[in-house]
Amino acid sequence: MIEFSHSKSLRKGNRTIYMKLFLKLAWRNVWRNKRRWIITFLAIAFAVFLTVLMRGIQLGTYDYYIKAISGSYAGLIQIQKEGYLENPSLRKSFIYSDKLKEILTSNSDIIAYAPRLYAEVLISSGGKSYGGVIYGVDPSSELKFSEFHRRIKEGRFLNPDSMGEIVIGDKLFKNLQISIGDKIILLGQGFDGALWDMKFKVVGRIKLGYTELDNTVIFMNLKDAQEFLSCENRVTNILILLSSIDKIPSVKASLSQELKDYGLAVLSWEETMPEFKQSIDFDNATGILFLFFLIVIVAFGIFNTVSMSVLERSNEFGICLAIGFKNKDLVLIVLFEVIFIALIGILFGNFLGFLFNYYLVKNPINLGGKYIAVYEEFGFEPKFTSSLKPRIFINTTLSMLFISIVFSLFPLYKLYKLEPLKGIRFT
Amino acid sequence: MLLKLAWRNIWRNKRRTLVVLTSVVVGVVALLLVDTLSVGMLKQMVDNQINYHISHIQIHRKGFSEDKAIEKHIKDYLKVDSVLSSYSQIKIYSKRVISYGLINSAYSSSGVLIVGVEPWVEKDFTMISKSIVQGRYISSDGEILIGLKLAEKLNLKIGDRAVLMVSDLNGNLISNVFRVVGIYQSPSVNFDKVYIYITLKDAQNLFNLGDSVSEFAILLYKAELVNSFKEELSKALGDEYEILTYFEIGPFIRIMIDMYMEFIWIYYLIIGVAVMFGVINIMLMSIFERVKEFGVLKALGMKDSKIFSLIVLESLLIGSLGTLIGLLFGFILYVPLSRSGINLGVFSESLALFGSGRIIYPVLTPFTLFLLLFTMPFISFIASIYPGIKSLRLKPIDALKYI
Amino acid sequence: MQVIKTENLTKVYMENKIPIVALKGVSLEVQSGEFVVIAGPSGSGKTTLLNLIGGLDVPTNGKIYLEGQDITQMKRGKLAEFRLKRIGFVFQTYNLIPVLTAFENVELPLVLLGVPEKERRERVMEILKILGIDELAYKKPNEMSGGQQQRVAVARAMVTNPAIVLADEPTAHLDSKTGANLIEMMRNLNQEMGTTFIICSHDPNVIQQAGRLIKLKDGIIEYDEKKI
Repeated sequence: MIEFSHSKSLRKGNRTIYMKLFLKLAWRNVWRNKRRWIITFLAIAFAVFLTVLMRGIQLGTYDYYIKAISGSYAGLIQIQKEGYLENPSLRKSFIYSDKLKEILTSNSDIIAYAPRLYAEVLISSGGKSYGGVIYGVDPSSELKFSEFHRRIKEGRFLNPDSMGEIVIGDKLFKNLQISIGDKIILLGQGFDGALWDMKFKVVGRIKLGYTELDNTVIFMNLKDAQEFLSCENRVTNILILLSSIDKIPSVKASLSQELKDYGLAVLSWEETMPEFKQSIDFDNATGILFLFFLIVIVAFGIFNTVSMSVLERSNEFGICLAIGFKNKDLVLIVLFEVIFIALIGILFGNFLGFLFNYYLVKNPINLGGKYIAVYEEFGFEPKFTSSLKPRIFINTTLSMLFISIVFSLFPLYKLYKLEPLKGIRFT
Repeated sequence: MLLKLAWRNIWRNKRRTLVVLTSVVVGVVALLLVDTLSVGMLKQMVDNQINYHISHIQIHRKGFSEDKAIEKHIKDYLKVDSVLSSYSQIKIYSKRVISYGLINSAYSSSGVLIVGVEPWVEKDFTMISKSIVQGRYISSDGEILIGLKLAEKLNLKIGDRAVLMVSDLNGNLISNVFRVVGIYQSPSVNFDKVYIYITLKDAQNLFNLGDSVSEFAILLYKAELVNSFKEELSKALGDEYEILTYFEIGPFIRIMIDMYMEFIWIYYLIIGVAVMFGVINIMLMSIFERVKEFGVLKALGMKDSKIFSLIVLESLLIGSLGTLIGLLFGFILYVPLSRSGINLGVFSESLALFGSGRIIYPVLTPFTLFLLLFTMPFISFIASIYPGIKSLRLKPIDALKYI
Repeated sequence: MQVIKTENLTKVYMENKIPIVALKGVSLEVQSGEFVVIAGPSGSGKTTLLNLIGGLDVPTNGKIYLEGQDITQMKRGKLAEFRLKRIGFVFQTYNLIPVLTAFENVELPLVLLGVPEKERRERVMEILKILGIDELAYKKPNEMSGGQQQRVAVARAMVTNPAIVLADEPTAHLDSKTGANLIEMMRNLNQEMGTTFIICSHDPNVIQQAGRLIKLKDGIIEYDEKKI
């Protein structure tokens, strides 16, 4: 009989060899009961796919809405006189100086800016009067900034050298029962508090799609507005567009710094349109809550699968303990199994979600029919698009992984406490 | 007997069954909360619109709703008045003058919708009188009631004077001074910014209308009869008038309701599928444990269809039991919430935009209840098909393969 | 050298609130190299005794010394290490890990000990050869007969060159010829390697091969006889 050569290296603890063994065992165990793990894998993939898809649609559509709405109506960032936000009035207008223009043009993240002067007035023609809002704009800035000039239905938009001309909202136009070329009277309170009236010629009819505006908007050249309202060289807002939404915090911070001494406030769209921001937050929160429930439900399934799997192998685990495995080794092996399955499911779900999101980004869905009316309230095309932001995939992956492990903790704990004899079957 | 067997079988592995039951319960509770909250929000939007201004039905001269011009007033107001007073379905109706104007304070000016009302009627008619945050409702001529947002914008306080400027029936620019006696706050910020109230008489004088009015607003005893009553009224009053129900006046809400109906089932489906995976899993585990047993049952003469039914029944029991427990927990959560509402103060500004108010009261509709009762049992039925078919094909030898 | 010593070993366990005394004050000593068979009717406590000696169970009373160390005082971790290095186990059935090949099953204790791959390979192939199952090296348990599986189990028990091999009814599920072969193999190993064997069995083939026969009845030693 051949003698065994005594190994001198019978010492413990070569970690990589251990780990390789555990991983091997875990991997092979996963394939043992294919059906059960396939169902678990499908459930995980389903939950991950849906989460990625829904978050993609939510975030992508928000970005689209933010750009669309803020773009024209509030700008991504706005400069106002301090205090204007709470109490908008001509008294809180400020001087549109060259220094200001210089500061704005020198910032490379700012791709366009538009000065505006807003004021509420009464507009009348032939015995009919309505409340209106003057949008004193600089046509050359607006061309780069908003889409207004594209929404003209009749006539034309203002020219850079327009004087005494106005373009009014669709509904207002209809209500006044006038035609292009007619003259109307505007009555308003100027910067000095005095009431003035002045005649203007209507050169265009515009349909913005935002009913509240179409009822009241009166576009005129900034210079005209400044003259009419005794606001020489003053504006009430400067709207700013940036190269990307992500630049908002940094630009806001640097502008605030530079404009501190002028008594001006720099606000993001979130502050100028808080109800809009909150709608987004609300939708965001409900979305996350819903998906959380989804993931938890799938996690229950994981719990069951892992429990069953551990229970069925009690005998084998008992023997392993007998020959020298430690309980924590076994726990690690089963943990690896859970992670394998979760990762495969997560990967697949992410992949599928990525495909769908990518498709939606390239081909946004236009909501047709009756929904157009809803969105016309807010003035833009109703669209569903998606997003490929990495954090969607990363957050989903981490959540699913974390919950899978948490829901496996109980069966793993039982395994940790297993005694060899309790596992091994007595015949 | 099959039922008894099915019931006992479910409880063979208590923990496993309890875990799946829990997932069903969680699903049902989640859906209950999401659904009732959505419905609650929608209902509040509608109710607020009705209660604060629109009421159930409005009568105007044809074309008024498009363009609230003062010329489109109701000339034959006496006739309409007498027609309306003959109907018993009408709880109360109110006469109003409505048109655009400009309000000026020392500080600023703003475009507004001027509503001239009879204070003693209107007081009980809408919720405005109950939403006064400062001062009181108007009671006599020369007084004006404005919204909080408008008061802030114009820097007006109780006792201050404001000037209303309008273009009257003849095209002349008329203005008059009023004293602010009250400030109200409605759930909708857009409403507050625009609607101001003066007496009917003041409005008629301001616009030079004589005794004419622009609108009759009607509240019925039974809101559901709105559409049929509208038909009756149209016949009685004829073509010159437009008669609008609250749905037609506020299409925005109608669309939101439609959107809800179209999308809510998706949520049910998603949760349903998630639960389904869990049910399929344990049903499969359970049948594989009973391979020998099925063999014995078959040998004893039990038909395949009975075995299949057994599996389906077990699954249905789990789905139904989970649904019932889920509904129980759901109700325990729902009932106190439906009384106290959920305070979404954090989102107050956007809710003011939607007009639902910051406290949302969840509402359970029969439709929701039906969906809740139906979904999980249905899902568990679907889930049982695959295991059921598998159980028929099992042979005892196969048991050895599944360790 | 004394490799196993038990002092007044008693084990009581509860079954449905009724205390069952499996062992009553069993004291014995085993020298290195012995081939011991513990026989007795079911319920006599032989499996309990084996489990206690192997450190798989804890006595209600009494002490157990293996190679001079008191294992009743050892912590779980140290005990597991001791089992790994000094004891080999062969159970009645389901000895092997189904997802591993014969080779992998046998090398398992060596992996746990951190032995490098080359050396593991040498030792495993050696022991497989000795037991005559080297062609089965890459087969999984479900591809082998019962007898072959048990031989793999013995190989695994021996691969660390332990001081003691404990076997609980190793021939229980084998036909008599295969069983006899297995026991003969174990006897050979015992004689060639000097490994102490403690085997529980009521199989006559096994009892016949015993170098020392201990008969248990109702938890106490009825007789203790050295044969060869």
